[in-house]
Amino acid sequence: MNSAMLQTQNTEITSKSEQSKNVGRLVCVGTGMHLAGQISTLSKSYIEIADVVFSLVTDGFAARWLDAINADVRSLQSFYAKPDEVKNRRDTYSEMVNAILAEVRQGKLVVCAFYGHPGIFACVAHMAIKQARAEGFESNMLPGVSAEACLWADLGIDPGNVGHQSFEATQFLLYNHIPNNCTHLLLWQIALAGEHTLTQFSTTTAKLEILVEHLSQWYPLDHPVVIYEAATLPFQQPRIDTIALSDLPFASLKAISTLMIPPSKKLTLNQQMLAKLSITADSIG
Amino acid sequence: MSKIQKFAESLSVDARLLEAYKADPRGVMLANGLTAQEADLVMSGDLNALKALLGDSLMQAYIVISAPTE
Repeated sequence: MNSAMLQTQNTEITSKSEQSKNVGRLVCVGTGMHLAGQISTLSKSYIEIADVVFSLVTDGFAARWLDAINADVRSLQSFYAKPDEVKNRRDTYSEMVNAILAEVRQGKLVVCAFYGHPGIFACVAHMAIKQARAEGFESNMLPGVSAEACLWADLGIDPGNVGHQSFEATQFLLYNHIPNNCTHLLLWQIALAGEHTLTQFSTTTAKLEILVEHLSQWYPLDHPVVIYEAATLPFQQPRIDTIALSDLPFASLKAISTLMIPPSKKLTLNQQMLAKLSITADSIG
Repeated sequence: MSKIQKFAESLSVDARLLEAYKADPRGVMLANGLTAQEADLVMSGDLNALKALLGDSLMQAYIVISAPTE
């Protein structure tokens, strides 16, 4: 790199730093799905040095592990609806962001520790970072081991083999998503499929039956599908239950359940593209 | 920190301990100070009962919004 380029780069860095004038700082990290062992070294270090840590993890083991790393860990669980309360989760997430930003505005190094990856099928970290940056605070996200990363490892599937698609289950139902049934399909939050109000923590058999009917446009009813849950404790095995698609409405589903639907068709070659590229099928390596 | 918490954390980051546990789960648990009741619960696979024994409550994990936000 020549000196002019280096100077330009330094100017850009200075400029970015000038834009982030406020001293508060927000770092969103992922703890991974599994207790203690799937967090990056840097993410754990941020938790250790944070002035305050906001946490959203899936069990008491993970909560106690965080409590031992930093003296000021505050769970975001309290913002969810209480058992007898009706509360839209948009309000829950908004309140979480407000709580996080209130500490950033006080000039603190705030770390948000979310289970899995903080920004994959997870809106709160993205919302908080966006808000922090809008207010002039430096903010960034560090990746974690996601449920999807665990899924491919545990199922022994390379998603690059035939490709894959991921959708949030309710969005898949409500919007005109067209699955490519030559690839693997992941439906997240399957336990909430069709729950459009954002106020409930479960779906119904009837809604799952509608999902099955919808999917039957692309997959036979006896097509094997997998209900997957990553292990979160070392005592635990991941849940890998293979059932027929038609049995989905009667399956036991949890917050961390993901539905994996294997391809129902083989990939086919795009003959027009082959002709354009002047290649033949038997010449593909 | 309870012994089962400490053991779970160690088992999550220590490959040698994990391999020993896989070979003799009950023996390794008892050697690491878990009670027979805790070891029985782990061996039974009933982690909800184990969490109940520790006084853990159900935690929510939903942080996705179905409708696109942008």
